[in-house]
Amino acid sequence: MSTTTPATADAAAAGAAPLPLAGIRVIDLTMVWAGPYGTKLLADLGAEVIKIEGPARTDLTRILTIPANREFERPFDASRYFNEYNRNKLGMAIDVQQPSGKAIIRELAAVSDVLIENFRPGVIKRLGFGYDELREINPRIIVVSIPGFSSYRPEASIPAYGPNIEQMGGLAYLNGYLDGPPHKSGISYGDPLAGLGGAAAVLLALLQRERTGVGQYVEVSQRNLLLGMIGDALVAHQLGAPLGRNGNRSTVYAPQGVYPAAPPPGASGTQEQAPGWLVVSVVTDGQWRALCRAMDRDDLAADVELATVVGRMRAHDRLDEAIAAWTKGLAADEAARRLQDAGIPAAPVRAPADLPGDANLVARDFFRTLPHPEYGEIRVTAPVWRFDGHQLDVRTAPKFGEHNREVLARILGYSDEDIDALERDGVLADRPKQS
Amino acid sequence: MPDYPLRGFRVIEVATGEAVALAARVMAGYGAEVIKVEPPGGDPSRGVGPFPHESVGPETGAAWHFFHGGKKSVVLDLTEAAGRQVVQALAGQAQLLLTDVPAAERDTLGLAREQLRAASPALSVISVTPYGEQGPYAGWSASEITEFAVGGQMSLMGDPDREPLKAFHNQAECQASLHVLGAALAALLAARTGAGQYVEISVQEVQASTLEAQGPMALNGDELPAGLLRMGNGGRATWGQFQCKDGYVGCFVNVMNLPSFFRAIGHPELLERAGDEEFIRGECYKIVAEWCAARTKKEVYDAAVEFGAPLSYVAEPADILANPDIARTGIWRTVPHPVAGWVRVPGPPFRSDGLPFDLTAAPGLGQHTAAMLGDLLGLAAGDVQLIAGQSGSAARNAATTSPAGGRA
Repeated sequence: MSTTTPATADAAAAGAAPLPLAGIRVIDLTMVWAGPYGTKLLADLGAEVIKIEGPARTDLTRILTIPANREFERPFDASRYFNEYNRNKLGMAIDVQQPSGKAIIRELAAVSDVLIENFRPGVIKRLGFGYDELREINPRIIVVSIPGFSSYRPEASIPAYGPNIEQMGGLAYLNGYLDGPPHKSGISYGDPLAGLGGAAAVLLALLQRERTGVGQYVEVSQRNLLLGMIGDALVAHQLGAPLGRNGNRSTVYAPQGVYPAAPPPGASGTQEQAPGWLVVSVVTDGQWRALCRAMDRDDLAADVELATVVGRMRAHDRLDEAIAAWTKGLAADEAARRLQDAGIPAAPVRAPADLPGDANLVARDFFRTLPHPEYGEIRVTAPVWRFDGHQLDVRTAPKFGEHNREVLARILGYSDEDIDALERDGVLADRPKQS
Repeated sequence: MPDYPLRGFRVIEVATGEAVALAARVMAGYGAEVIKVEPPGGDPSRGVGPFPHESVGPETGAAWHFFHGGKKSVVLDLTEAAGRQVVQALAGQAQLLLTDVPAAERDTLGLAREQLRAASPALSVISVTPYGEQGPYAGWSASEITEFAVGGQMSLMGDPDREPLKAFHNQAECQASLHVLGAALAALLAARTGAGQYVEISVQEVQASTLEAQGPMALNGDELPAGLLRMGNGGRATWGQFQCKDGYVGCFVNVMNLPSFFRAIGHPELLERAGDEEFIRGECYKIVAEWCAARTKKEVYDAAVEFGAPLSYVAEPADILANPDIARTGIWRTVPHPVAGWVRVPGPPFRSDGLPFDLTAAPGLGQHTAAMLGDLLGLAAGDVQLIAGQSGSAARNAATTSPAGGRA
């Protein structure tokens, strides 16, 4: 473990148990979604994550999701996207193309546990921060890369975004409406998986290091992680029983689907083509009878054909119509409550805009309000790995270059004069350089 | 013997969902001893399939075979006092217990927080449930579609003029499996001080914290533009899925890749019109669609390689299994299957020379009951009383003995 960090010092002062990852220092060279999503999970548990951007290499999300209807002093600090996934981190802006900028990274690597990056394969080596270089400085360091495919040619040279990787990783083939083509996810699904994989790889290598005393290099391929999410389909193919696209239905029980619902009371109509959607699953024969009762459809309950899952699968289209006829008269929350009372899995489809009003998330204190220099206040999500007995606080994401001075002085022992000189030379910045 | 990173860790799995199953499978591959506790009737995934032709059985289905490779199966009836005593005795010999049993049932099954702490203060527990252990929906029933619906991701998936679309099988649980894995590893690290950790994960929160730009915007009351709502497969020349000769391909291009993309499709001159949205959705869309329709998946991929453009194809299982680039990363492990002989499965999620990974086949029902109870709890063979007079391997191998004599 590294030197004392503010997290350990605070915990010791308060007499509380140190946070689960207190004392772990991470150099974070990632940007956009995948990497920052992963290092957020580490930072939430008390790891000291130092996010490093460059004067001319700002995290691309800093220019996204800035509300157009407001004036900002520093718009590059106002991105909603950036603020969510970079909270709890320290932020530096260093020109790593300059020798003194490179030196800072190498000095940090000497006193850090982890370096994580998501450059295109090969870039990290060209910058001089490859594992082979860094292990010379610090044999305990763990270096994690999260490429889209792998570092092998030819695929190493192909740029790839979430939907590309989902296609190449086989998930897109299995996603889709019953009667439709392959389908991409609504989010760039490979990104959070890669971030999660990166975080888990860091933790696995840290555990390994407890025994071996040395670090290692780990490559976490987004595409390979996706393959791990469809392993049953890959096995099924080899068993001669291939799986196809099954829309919203289950392959095991029936009926299951998405059904239109009425507008909730007082709704302003933020949803698109239907006022609301409800999902329903009938997993057991008993739930089928309960559903018929809830819908007041004795005729369906009495139909022996429908008493078993085989019959209900055969009649799925007709059952979908019957369920939709019932749900469209009810608001999704009301219908879900009634079905849950009857022991049937059902739930409203929540759009992102619905989540702040979700009773369960609110009751569980899932939303945190943080002070923010541009907004006054900003809301982010709570840590999702809820370690019992630890107070997992959330700190606002760093302003661009906010912790340049603090990190250099506290961790590397630079003097004020050293830092002033680096600022004058443009090695450090607190505003993005116009390109 | 390879230096497995989780060598020496014992993990107890008391769960039926993919979130725990996949996380525990990865831990088994990395060298942990994973004991899957099954009820006498077997884990539900044994009945899921798909199954090889005319070979339906508890060990032959694809789901069982994939999700539970590398584990040991111990059959315990946790509705009986003896079963609860045994599971707690096993927990006392383990570093980690992973469970998705509904919070309301934990107490009666001997899995409540206090009961597990009493079993071993050094034991860490990862508890994953659809809505969390507490909260107004904690008691709600859940399924693969409700778990995907309540956190926001499903509302963003599908065509804009149709109902929202669920991802393949239970992706909400698969996604959560990496959270279970990460939290478990963090707990093992934190528990080096001797104190076991208790970590609670809600699948709804996993989903709701994973909404790209849309989540952070909506959380702060910003209106989402139409392009950030459900948008099908893209629908733009530079962000869309297209039919090709033998399937489907994708052009998902960001600003910096526009030059390579237009070179790849043989129209570098179109670059200067890339900012014209009407053109991108209209005339240019037709040009790209025609280019794709005239090519095979392989030809499109070759263009991606040649020009360094973000083009891709919709890989089917057969494509994936035959892809030499994927094989070169070392992801495959070959494991025996009771009917098919040998099958390849995705192995290590991470590539490192320092992280060896191996898997055995998914276990038979109760295959390790007698051995585990004997080895770990010191029960003599005669003490492991087997249920008599019931048919099937489950009953044959289910232990009902009291472990009282076996605790050290």
